[in-house]
Amino acid sequence: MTEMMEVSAPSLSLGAAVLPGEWNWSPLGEVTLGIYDCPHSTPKLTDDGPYVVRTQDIISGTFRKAGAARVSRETYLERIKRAVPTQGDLLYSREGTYFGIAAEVPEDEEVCLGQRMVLIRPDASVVNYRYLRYWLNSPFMASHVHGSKDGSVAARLNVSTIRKLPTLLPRLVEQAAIAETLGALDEKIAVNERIAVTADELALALALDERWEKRIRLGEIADLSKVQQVPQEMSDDLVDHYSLPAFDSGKAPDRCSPLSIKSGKFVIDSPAVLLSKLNPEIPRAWDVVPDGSVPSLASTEFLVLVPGLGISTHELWSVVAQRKFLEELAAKVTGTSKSHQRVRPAEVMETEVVDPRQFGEVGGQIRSLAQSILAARRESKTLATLRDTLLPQLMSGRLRVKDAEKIVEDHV
Amino acid sequence: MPPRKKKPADQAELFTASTPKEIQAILWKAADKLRGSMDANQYKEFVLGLIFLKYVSDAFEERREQLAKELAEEGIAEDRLEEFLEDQDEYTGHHVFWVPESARWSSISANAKSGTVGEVLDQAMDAIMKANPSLTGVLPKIFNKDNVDKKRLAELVDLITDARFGGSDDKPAQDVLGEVYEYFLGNFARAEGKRGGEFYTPSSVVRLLVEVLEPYEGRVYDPACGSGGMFVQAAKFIEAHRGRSHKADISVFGQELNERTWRLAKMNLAIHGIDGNLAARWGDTFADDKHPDLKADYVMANPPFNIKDWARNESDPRWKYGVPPRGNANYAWLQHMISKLGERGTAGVVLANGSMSSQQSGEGEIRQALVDGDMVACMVALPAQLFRTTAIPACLWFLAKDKSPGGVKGQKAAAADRRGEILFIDARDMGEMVDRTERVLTDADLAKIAGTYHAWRGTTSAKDAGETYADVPGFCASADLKTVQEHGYVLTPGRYVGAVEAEEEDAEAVAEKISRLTTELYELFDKSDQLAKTVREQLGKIDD
Repeated sequence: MTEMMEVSAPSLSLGAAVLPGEWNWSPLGEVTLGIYDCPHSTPKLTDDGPYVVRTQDIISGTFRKAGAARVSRETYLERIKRAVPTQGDLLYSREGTYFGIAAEVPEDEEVCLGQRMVLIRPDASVVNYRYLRYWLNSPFMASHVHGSKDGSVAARLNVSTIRKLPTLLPRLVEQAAIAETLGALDEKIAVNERIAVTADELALALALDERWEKRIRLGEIADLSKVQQVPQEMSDDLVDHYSLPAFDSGKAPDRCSPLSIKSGKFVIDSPAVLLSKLNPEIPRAWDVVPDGSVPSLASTEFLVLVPGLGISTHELWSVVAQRKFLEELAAKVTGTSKSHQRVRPAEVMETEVVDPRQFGEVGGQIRSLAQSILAARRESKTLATLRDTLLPQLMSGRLRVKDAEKIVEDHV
Repeated sequence: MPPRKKKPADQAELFTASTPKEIQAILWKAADKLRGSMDANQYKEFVLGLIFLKYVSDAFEERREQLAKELAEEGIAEDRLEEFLEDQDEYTGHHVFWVPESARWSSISANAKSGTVGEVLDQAMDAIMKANPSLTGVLPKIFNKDNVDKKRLAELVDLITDARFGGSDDKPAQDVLGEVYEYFLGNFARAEGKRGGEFYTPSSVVRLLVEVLEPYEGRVYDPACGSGGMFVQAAKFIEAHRGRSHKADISVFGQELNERTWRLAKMNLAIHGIDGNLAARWGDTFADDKHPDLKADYVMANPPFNIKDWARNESDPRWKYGVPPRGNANYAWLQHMISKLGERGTAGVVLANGSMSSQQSGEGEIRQALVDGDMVACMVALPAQLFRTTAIPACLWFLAKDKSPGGVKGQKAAAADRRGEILFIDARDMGEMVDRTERVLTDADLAKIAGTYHAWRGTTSAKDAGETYADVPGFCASADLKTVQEHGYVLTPGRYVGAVEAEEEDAEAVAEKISRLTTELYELFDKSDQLAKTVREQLGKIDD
């Protein structure tokens, strides 16, 4: 490896960190074999075929197949002319609502670039692609990238800017070690989410309409809790905020200061099922066991259902989260605008659900599945916090991974 | 006082056993004690290998005795007898494997107590393979290993020696050992639970396929042949209807993915005296078709249900009715089998119920193309719990290349014209429980289902029995393609035979879903545990 060019990175701050001696700065263009821009045409989407990766598909730093669009084979071949995305390459968004985010090319899927995307092909002899992904997604890079917007409204990075992005490189072994540590956390988070999704589906299948005969009005097995609280008046430092956006983005509450919450909220002081009365055709039924350490608040778009005697929230959730029940609610909505249709609470309580009291053994199965969902999501939350805490420390050399450091020392 | 030496209990029991069933049960129990530290796969090969060895040896001795008699009748002098008796061609010419002296059971049994029994067995296997090229690579050489309990092995050898496998007039030794082999295969499948389904299909299901297809002569093919049960049943069918000498009227072609299962199948065919072409090696039917030019008269198969990771090539010419989805190979199996059907060929396939109604990833379109192409002859919904190894409810697909009056293979008289029609049979209420968890189709059930099919198709066997076809509400219905189109090309028999509520159909789909999700969840739990360990290791490395 020849001497690397010194990079000055005025807008990139690592805090007060003093870099380990053997770490180097380098422009991204010099540690890659190529940075390829996407074709500028709008791809024609199809039902089947290879995936086309758009900026919104990699917001989380991982390519999410769910919701991703597909293109025909012809379109695919057309779009990979400049470079075929292969494992080891990075997909990078350079424009749009969310930009400056990198994701790995998935191992077992054919993908091509959507608009406003580039493909980064790291030079494996100097940079570990996984490390590079973490670097590009690190808070240092985020503030650098978003700080280098030229002030205009459209936020974008052109390819020449991307080539110049400052890249901080430890020795390869240490890059690999950092990527491995952070990667272990991410993989655990990913498998937890799959556990939650699978267990969710399984619990709902167990409680499915077709399997049970007895029906009952929801009002006979659950009460509505309507205690409200104005967050601004609370003296607590932190609360768990159960909002519709929090449900949609991973079914975990936002832990935040009550001062940041504007309007009045429902108080959740015991396990409850939250059921969205807004647009009920979108399935939003949330099985909630409040974390006792901080107060829990729910958006008033939810109904707070408290189960009656002898029924757990898990079983209650399994019968109200059923598609059939939600469809019935959807048929009862009122409101003129399509986007803001609500069902009246009294109507909800009158609607029939499968009676969970007939579940017997299955009730136990549903409860344990629901608990494993809660545990998996809670663990993921902790893992993500840990990852976000570690990442800047490892990426700035303030914390080192032992083995890597040892190997590096031996070679210096 | 030293303890009195007494015969092992199993052996004492064996002497009082009178029926083959009892003998099998005693052997199973005895063999089970050897399991010890072996994994299920190895243990299975181990025991079945022993039975196979006993079989080749018995068959050899039988032929040898017969030969001696023939030679004596021909007036061959006593002193030259030995020379003829050791002539390999006299055996291989009669479909009997040549067994070198050291590999004969008499010599093994004499060495059983010597402590070197493992070595003797491995050498015997080797010697037989060397003398019979068709067995190359088939027999297990795993007896002389540390994890084998030598004392128990010797006991088992003794037990097999004593068991009366010897044939009687109406039943040659071959049949008795064939039954033992099958009994063991079935028991192994049960013991292995879910994974056992990979090599074994319950015999009442196989018999149903055979009774419907009636493979009297021609080429029989199974692209996922497991331990070869379909072939054995087909041969039995012919024997029962045409006599032992007609067994060679069919030729057998198979392929199996799993190396160990492939070996079991080779032994199973050999032990039943079936000459089959299972290819020189195991292999993946989708990626490496071992019989590319085959045109079969009968295809019978129980391929693995709903497999996700399969070798999918979108431009494969076999996908005449549409490219099967990446996430499920059911329609790949169906189309592979259709591609192998010769003129007037028919196929019977066991598949998961989902295949009759799935709409995901283009499967609905493929099913529509199959129906519109008039490839489907009959659909049978099977009762639950026929497969102890899987909770997924299953169905049978019968496909036919030619549904015209002249379309029945091997039949000169005109059959019924069933072009543009499909027969639906709902057999979900049939069968009886043999124990708490397993159901079998009875002889009467098999006769009723197969009889209905033959009456509908107008085959000679139905005519001989004087049966004509009529719809029976709740059991069978013949529907034209227009009716099938009206049902959105869903082929679930319950929809056509009437008298069954649609809710039950959905309940089946739910059962399948629950079983699939449960499996997935367990796999995720395992993975999660592993990852938790990795996270601990990684975090332990951080210097702080």
